[in-house]
Amino acid sequence: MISGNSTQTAGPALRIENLDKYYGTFRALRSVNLSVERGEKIVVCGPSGSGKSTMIRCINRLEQHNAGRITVLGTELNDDVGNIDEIRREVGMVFQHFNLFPHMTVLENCMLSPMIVRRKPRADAEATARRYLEKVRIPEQAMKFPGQLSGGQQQRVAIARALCMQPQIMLFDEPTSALDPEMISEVLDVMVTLASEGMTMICVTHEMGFARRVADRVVFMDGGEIVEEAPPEEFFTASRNERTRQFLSQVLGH
Amino acid sequence: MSSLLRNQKVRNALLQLLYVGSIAALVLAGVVIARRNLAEQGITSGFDFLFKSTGWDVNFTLLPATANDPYWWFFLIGITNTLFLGTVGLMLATIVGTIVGLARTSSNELAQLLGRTYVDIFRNIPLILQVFFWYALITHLPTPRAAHEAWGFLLTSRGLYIPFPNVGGGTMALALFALLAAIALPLWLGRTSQLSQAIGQRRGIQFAGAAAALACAAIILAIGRLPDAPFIDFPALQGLNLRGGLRIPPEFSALAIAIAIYGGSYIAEIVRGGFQSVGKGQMEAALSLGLSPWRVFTLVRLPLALRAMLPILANQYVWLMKATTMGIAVGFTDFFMIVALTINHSGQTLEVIGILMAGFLAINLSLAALFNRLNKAIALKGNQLRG
Repeated sequence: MISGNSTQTAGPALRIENLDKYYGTFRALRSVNLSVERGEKIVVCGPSGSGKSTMIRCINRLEQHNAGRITVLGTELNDDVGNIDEIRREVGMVFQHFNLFPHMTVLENCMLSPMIVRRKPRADAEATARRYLEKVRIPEQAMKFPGQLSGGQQQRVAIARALCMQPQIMLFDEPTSALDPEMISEVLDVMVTLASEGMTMICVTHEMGFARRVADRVVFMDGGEIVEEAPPEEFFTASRNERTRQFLSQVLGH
Repeated sequence: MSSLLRNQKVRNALLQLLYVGSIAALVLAGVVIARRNLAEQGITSGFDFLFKSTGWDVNFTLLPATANDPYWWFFLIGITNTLFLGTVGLMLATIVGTIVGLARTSSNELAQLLGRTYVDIFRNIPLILQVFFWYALITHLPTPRAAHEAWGFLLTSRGLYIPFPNVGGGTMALALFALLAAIALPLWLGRTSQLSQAIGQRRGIQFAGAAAALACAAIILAIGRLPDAPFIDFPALQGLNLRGGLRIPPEFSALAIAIAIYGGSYIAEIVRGGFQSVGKGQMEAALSLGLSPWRVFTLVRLPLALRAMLPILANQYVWLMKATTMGIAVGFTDFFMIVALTINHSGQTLEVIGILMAGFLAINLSLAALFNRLNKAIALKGNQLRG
């Protein structure tokens, strides 16, 4: 349990079976099924309120599902606290509003969890943090505080912070939705690089260009259900589903 | 000339001159009238009385006092009593407030209900009534002969008697200082990053620091112990009264409890607000990084909540420090009571009130200055409106 890498190395990275989630009497997820292979890049899209965020937040237990099974890297996500800890160590997450710790420097944001959860020595954690800050192209901001950075820079720090835990899966929950238009590409560029290096990624996003370029599969959700699941070229050009076509015409229409 | 009056800078300067001038005139008029009235009644003003002996005694003092001591010494006693009561009261109120505040923000509904009930009751009863209530309760406890006893502590109508080391005042102060160091040293060592290589190593260094300070405290107490007396002095019944140990008088206990409980209800609301102001996003990010709920609390929630709480907390502390003047209601010789007694005995009302005001200004301005510095030191950098 303690060793952190007791997760399996074979089998799918993630399997979601018949997932149900209720908020009171509102059914946010309706029997969702999704399987993600190692190294696969999934883009999840759909209208607001369709359950995209709820689904990926269930994967690291920021939301508790009510029925169904989630298996992450061979470990089942249930009430076992040990399992939850194990899964959270291996699954990084990037949020819409960055959620950096405002009272710590950029470097401290990146070093905190590796030092405490992975028990890395400080020097090690700092070296890793600087390496990932380099990777997201803001090594010079290491000693600044989050409030002193632009939105795009903050989001790149958030990506570096998640990567410092050296996770096997990365979840992105609308990472560019809170950014000014000119900052979106700097964040997407980092995500494209990450994808090209073979990271398993599940991204909730409305950036259809990114989906076309990077995704192995595009998952379209509506009303808490997965309506369609297809490779991007098929999804964007030859969708047979009425709801998908309507959504695409709204997103791509202008 | 008219063009000069239309200049904005000139206008502002004139207005300020007028403002300062009117205030100065008011103060001057007050002083002149007061002097003439005092002269008519044959009262000599001045501060000579400070050096006369008082001829009366105080019931609670941390400094040595006799009826022959001069007024200025009694003022000092009053200020130390006020500071002592204030410090104890504020610390207890903070502990109570933190517990109740956390109960109110917890997800447990019973805890929420208890917390809300506590705040509703104790915040809405005037402080002076609460002081009277606790004082009445304590003075109606059993007499020393029928005292409640537990672990050497005796609860009686004459106060709480606690076992106390047989040492002098200076030794006690030094030992307390060492004990404080035992708490502060690990915190300080934890912050200095050069020393902390890994978590495990840092723990070791912090532990060593605390142990060294505790050892110092033990050595100080051992050296300073009075000869021919047991190390710890247990209170015991002798005739009709209790001897030995340390007696905490009912007046002090009643005030400290009242301030703790009343202040605690206000601080609970500040604590609640502080924790509610912390964005859910930061906590989710910390959880998603694999930090345990306890780490999320100590490393993310608490530090951020503290920053939101501190300015309001400073306000509340200043308020509670002034609430120590309730001492006069139950006969605790705090600064205000000493001042009231001095007015009765010396008749130097204006001077003594002046001293009272200056004393409280000094105490509360220092408190505010301390908090402002603290606030500045931990303020979040940059623009926090984002995210």
